[in-house]
Amino acid sequence: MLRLLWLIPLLPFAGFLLNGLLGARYLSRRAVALVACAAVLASFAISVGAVLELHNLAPAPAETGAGAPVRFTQTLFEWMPMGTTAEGADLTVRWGYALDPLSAVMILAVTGIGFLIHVYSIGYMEHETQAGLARFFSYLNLFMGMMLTLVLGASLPVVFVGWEGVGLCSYLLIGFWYDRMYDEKTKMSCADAGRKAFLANRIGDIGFILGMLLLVTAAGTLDIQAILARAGTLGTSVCTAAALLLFFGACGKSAQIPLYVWLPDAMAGPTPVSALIHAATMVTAGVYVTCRMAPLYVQAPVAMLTVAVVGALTALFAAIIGTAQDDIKKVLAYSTVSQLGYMMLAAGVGAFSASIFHLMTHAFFKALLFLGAGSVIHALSGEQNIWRMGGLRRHLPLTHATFAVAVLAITGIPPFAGFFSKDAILAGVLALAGETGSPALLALWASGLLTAGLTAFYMTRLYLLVFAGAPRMPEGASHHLHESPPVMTRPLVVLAAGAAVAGFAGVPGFLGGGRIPDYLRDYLAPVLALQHIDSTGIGTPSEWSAMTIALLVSLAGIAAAWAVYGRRPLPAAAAAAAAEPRGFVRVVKEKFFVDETIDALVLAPYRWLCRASAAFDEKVVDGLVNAVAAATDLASQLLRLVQAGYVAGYAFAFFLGTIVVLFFVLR
Amino acid sequence: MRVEFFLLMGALLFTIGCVGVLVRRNAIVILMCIELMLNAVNLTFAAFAHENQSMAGQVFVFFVMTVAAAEAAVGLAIVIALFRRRRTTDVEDASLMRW
Amino acid sequence: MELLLGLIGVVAVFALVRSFLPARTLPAGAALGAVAVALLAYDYRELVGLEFWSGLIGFVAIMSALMVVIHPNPMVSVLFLILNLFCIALFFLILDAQFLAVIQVIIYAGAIMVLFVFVVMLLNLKTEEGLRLGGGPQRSGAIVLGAAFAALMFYAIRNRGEAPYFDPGPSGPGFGTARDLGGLLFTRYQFAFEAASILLIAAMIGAVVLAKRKLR
Repeated sequence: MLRLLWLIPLLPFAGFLLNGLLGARYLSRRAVALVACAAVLASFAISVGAVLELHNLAPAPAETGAGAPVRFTQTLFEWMPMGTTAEGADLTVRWGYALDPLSAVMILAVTGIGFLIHVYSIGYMEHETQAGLARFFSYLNLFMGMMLTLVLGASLPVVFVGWEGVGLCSYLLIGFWYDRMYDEKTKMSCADAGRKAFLANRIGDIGFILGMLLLVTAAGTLDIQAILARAGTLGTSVCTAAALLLFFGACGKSAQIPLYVWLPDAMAGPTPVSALIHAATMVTAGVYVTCRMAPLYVQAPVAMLTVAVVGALTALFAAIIGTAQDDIKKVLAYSTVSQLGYMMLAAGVGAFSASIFHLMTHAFFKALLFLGAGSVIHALSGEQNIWRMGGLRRHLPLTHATFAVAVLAITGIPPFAGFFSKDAILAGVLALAGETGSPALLALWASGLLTAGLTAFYMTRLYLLVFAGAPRMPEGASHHLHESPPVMTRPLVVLAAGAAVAGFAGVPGFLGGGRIPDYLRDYLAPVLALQHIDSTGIGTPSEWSAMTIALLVSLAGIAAAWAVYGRRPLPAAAAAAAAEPRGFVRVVKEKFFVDETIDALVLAPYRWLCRASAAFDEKVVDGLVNAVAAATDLASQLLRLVQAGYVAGYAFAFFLGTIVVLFFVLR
Repeated sequence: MRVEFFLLMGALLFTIGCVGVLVRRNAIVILMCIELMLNAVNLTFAAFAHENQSMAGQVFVFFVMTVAAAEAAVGLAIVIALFRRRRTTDVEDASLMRW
Repeated sequence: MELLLGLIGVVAVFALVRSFLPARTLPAGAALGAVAVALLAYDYRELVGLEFWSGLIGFVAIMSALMVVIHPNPMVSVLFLILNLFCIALFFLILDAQFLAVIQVIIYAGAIMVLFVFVVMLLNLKTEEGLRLGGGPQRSGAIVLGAAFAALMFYAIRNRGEAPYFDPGPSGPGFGTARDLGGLLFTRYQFAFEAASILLIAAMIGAVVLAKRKLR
């Protein structure tokens, strides 16, 4: 099955072509859905088989940080034959895929959750036209293919192809309803939102490309493993520069400060798109690449610190904004930004496997949250403002149950998944702080804790306002109010199961007294062997107390939210504060006016430049061309007088010409 | 008499003919001025023929006369045809081929 | 020298004659004057040389050419052109081109000019309304151009390089006779001769077709 590795990205591409070319007219609706889901399911099946085979290839990695990484590489063809450098390094870029434990985790998560979301979309998009449905599923499949190319790529250009591809698909999918207005206040259409996402990603891509160029100049190759093998010899400054550049690219993809602004507006797309792209897969690409290039980062402590600080800041900042949002999807979007910040924080302190662990669990519960939100929106015929919801647990029981599981997971309540993964991150930060004794790292740990509390707060607020309490729906929304069809609820159940038990893949050592192995960390150890955080290093009592503190903070957040939003009837102050926010609340609600600031500082001068260029083009360039045309016209008007039909005039001209010629001949 | 005398005479007659073509409005008079120019040319040819003692010049005069006759006949026929249409031989009225 | 004197004398006579005759009789008067002078000169032909006669004939030629161009009445223009053709014929005689001189009178003055006369009478052309031309500037422009052209010609003729002298005396025997001309026509210029005949046929047909009243 490992030999079929190349099929994993290819099958979704085939689905894309099939649905894209034939889906609009020649296939039935069921066939379109079948093609799309079957392609992803087949990829998932092959992935499972390949991972199992990979596992059997090598001895069981029982010890941490020991043994050569188990990796299977498959080169398909020579993509850019570029010869060798003067020093004899081979510059040829080959199109190849590589499977090792890190990418194994990723492809299983991507194809598995992707499949569930494909199934869910069949129900969610049932109101679309045949052409729209075919377009949607073909884009979705294209995205899957690109994401898998990104994950499996063995050299940086292949990864970059996938990188750009997912950016393109996010543009296509966010702007899926391209003629719909998304935000009445700012007159942003869904197409504008898609464009914003693509542009923010592109800005990050500059960093990625520059990083690639720096690496090929310094290391003489673009093959990932070759680069990582040479990482030690490149020198700190090169590693720092390359790491920071690649991280800038990751900021664009994974929505860190300052390039996160596209993610909240990306909610313009259909909810399954938000679930797939902006919860589980695309936004994690940045985290994945950062962890993949871990040996490079380890050589550059400055870069690592930057990653950690940016991650922590992003987490806190987004969490603050999330507490005041009224749109159910916006809350989840800021939550995603915040959780991505957590993942970057983990990577920054060296706890790479904790970062991947959180990536995995986050994929489960965030996708579940988005799909649940989609179910709610679907039932309410498009209502997204949480102040116009309430008491939905009676009407949407299954959605309510799975949503509750997800909320518990994200707030870090044991035994659900988020507890273990978030705790792993915080423990990692604390361990590094203890190791180096740096107060900055302690501050990072504190901010991570605060973020956890805020996360608990706003997620509980969301749950209470949507599902609990008295109904506040307007009249028209209730007529469609029933539970979603099984095609939508069954994926929810599967994801809920995952969110519940996935945490047990990474139980930290001290909890079980050393008897329960940390499966994930051990599995990833050969690849991320440089993770120098050993959570047993600081000693068991500190770990217990750290864990307890984190749990208490989460519970405090839940309690605070309950106090404000859990009472019935809803305190008038809360509702009023939401309707007419003032002061700091207003600033938070308006997301700290970041978008407006960017618009004024960056975009307005740019637009002025565009207008100036357009005016220049019109007046000067076109004017020049028009002047030429006008001159020709004038000349022809003058010339036309020669042909007046006046014969004597013609004779005159003859005579004059003859004289002139004779003059020159005879002189 | 130097041969230049006849050459000068021919040049002068030719010039007068040219000016006549340009100045007159009557089509027939213009044709006559053209005949004048042709005669000037004949004179010049004959002068050169005598200067170089070569009969070729006179042969040329012969042919020029032939062509002048043909051209006068056809030209006058055209003027007559035009006159039938427009009742005028004024060349200024024949300015239809214009842009 | 004699040429100059001759020219001055003729101009004086002409001016004198003209001042005494009314304008209407100008053409007749000019012709008469010329004939009178010719008769006188014939009687005294030993007194004056060829230069004088050439000058006189040249003067008459130029005057008649000017009258062709200037006179408003087309009929008068035709008559002056005939006079001009006669002068040219005389020039041909001086230049030892006897056959051509005769041809000139018979064909050119005798046939072509008669054709012109017929057409002028057929179309019943009256006097043009003055010499109003296509714009005053055009008339001046034409005259300026003519002057420029004449100056150019004079300059070119003056600077021919060598200066062969023409002696109207002996030419080669048979020079200018019909025999010599015919000899060339039927041998060296045979093709042109035949082509000219075709040209004449074409012109004949063309003239007939063009001047027909109705094309059926």
